[in-house]
Amino acid sequence: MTDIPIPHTWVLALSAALFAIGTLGVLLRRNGIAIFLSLELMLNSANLAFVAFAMTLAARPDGAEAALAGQLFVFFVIGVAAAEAAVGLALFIALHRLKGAIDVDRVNILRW
Amino acid sequence: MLIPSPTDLSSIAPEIVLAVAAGVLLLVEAFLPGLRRLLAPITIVASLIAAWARFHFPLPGVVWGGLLSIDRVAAFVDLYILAAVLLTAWMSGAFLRRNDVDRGEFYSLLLLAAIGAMVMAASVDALTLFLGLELLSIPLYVLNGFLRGHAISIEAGLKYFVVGAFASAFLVYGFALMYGMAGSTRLEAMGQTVLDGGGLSPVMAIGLAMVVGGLGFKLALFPFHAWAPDVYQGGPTPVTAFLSVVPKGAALVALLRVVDGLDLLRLSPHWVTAAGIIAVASMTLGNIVAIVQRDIKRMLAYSGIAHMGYAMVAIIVAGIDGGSAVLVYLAAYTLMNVGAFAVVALLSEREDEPHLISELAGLGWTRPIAAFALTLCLVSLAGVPPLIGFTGKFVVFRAAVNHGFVWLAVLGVINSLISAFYYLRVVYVMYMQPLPRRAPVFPSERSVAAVAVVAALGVVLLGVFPMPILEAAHRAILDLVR
Repeated sequence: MTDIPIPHTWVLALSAALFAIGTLGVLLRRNGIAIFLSLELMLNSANLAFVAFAMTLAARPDGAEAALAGQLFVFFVIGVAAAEAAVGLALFIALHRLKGAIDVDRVNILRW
Repeated sequence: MLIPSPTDLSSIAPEIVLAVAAGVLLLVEAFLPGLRRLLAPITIVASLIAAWARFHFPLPGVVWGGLLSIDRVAAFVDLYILAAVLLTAWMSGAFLRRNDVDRGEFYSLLLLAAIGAMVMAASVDALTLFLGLELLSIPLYVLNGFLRGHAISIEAGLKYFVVGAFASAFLVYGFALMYGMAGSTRLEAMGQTVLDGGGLSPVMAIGLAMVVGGLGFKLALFPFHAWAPDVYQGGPTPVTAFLSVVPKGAALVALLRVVDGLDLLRLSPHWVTAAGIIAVASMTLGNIVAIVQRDIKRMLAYSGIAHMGYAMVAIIVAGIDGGSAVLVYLAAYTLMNVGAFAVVALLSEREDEPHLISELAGLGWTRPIAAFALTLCLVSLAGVPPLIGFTGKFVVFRAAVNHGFVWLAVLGVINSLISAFYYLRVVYVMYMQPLPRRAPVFPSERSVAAVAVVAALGVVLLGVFPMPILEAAHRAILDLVR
């Protein structure tokens, strides 16, 4: 664990980029599954940020506990993402049964 | 800490009661489907036992190794969450049977969402706040899409899911940034970092903005409000009643803990500007767009956006006055909204059609009790004394004026006047317009009407005798503000 070849700022930059891609995906894509994947990307980019910060904290002399808090958070986010996946896919399947498509353009009964 | 102490366990007794009941409901559904009529009563009894447990066991403060703070604020919010669960379950039985979806999952999910809200309102750590938020949100995605045969319900569930997951991703990322700066997930430690740094560092500010934005989605504050009207209109009405009060209450208290924990008022002048703009924009947009709505559920959605704008004023004031105003406002808002939605649950021929305000014509004469209950709730939402809605607005605006936010109070009062227009229009339609020739046939279910009557009674009683709730809120907030 002494030599970490990748600086943590790179990991943070990657996580920020992934979060931005996920955000744009949710806002711009029309296909339900694509939106869903973008949401997962956003959550996982947060995981990456947690891990990267934990890396920097672990390098401090008394940072072991602080690092653990962030790494623990990641496991809970993974669990929650799985629960969200189950519910989200179920809703998309229900939509597909009713409409025969999962494009969010088809979801337009409700208007301003 | 690996082994929870007895204090840890007793402090979350209400949550344990609800979790057990949620399991029992699923078992009844699976093995004793003949007892479906008991589902709603089991839920009601569970919420009563949980409320008893909240009174019975002492409130130890910070427990579970610093994850939760079971203080009087948490207890206050728990009680009103449980009241919302009770009223929602009470009106759900008849509603679900009418739509042929009276299932154990519904009540089970309702209780799980309530546990999430209670955890969220008690959390003093980013981890529990996030988990509480998700435990609250994920059941609500399902509940919104519960009328599987209706495209409108599925659509509401999907919209709430996409927006909710989007918001929680922002919240988590914000917490990741704040954790990186503070080296801890405790809200208190994050506050200490801000304090030591003499202000918000840029990364901390971005993280905080993302967290507030994530909570703002749950509160349906401008500019995060766009989902609310669609989800309110499409979801099953009892779920809408629950959705319009419980997540908002939990999120407001979480926000209060963040704002007070970080002492934003003192450390960041931009906070007041940003939050003030959000508050005023929410009130103004909510009230003005509500005027042109023809569907009563959409109208109430926009009214909810406006009401969260008023509550945001109290959040900005913060401290003892602002905090207790938030709690009083929440209690008022819960009663008025659940009462109004209970009447709306009665007033629909088919769930997948709009709940038009014009269909209520003549209702004051054909259904006097329901119409009168709705009138009381709406007049209270408009803030007319001596009802609870007036008390709520009064404490919020008084706190704002006393702490130098006169401009917020003035804009709030002007907005209340605008809002009276659309609330009273519904009353006008019910009492002054003649029955249409082909009057819609609304179901007459005693339990749903009873919920409306109970809520309306609460609106009147707490409005006429506001002292107990004002004192309870004041005492509770002393636990949170140091």
